[in-house]
Amino acid sequence: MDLTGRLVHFWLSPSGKEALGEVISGSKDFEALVVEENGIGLWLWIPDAERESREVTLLKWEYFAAASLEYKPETPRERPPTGFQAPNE
Amino acid sequence: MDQSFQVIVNSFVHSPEEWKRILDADVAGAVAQLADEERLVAKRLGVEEREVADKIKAGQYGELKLRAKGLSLGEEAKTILDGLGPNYRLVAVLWENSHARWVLRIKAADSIANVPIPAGLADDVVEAGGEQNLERLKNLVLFGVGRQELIFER
Repeated sequence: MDLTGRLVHFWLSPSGKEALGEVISGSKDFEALVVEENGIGLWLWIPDAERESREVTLLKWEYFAAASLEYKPETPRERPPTGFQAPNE
Repeated sequence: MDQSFQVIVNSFVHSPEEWKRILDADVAGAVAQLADEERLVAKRLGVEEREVADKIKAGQYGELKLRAKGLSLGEEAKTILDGLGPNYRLVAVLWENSHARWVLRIKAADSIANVPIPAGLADDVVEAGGEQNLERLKNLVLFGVGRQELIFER
């Protein structure tokens, strides 16, 4: 499942709690927006009290133990074609 | 719909199925349309005219397809920005082949924001639509233009 753009609730692993203890004030779980994901981990925006900061934080894959998010299977909506057809269609 | 933004594509990609369609298409017609310069270059490269025609047709088709996708993505982004008021305007949708992503160039009140959108998410938005995919796009746009306070208010 692609996480970029989703709001996700994370629970840190013991090593993640040690590494990110200062960032999330010692809590073992938190909610964040996934801004980007790559081979190293997830780049997160963790809202502070003011929610004005634009700082993003790298959460390495090994730094979280579990994650949850709202998910519901959806039927693709009817859409018009994107604009042209293949040469022999 | 009135297109008020540019779609900029400097590269393109093809699936194997698209290549088959291209190769099965009217190659003789494409060969006939080759410009003199293209024939000359082909000769210098030792490439057959048919192969050159294939590549030209492929390029046109792949680029058209990518442009169409960018246009649809831009229309979705424009709808999101319209909801933020007149201070936000989509200027361009750019394809970055090296990063396999789109970039939404958005003019805010006094700055320009470049908002990267992964190709996978763009495909989900354009091809499947759906509330959750649009929500993901909306979150990235809001964060990209500095209106992240709205993300948790919805």
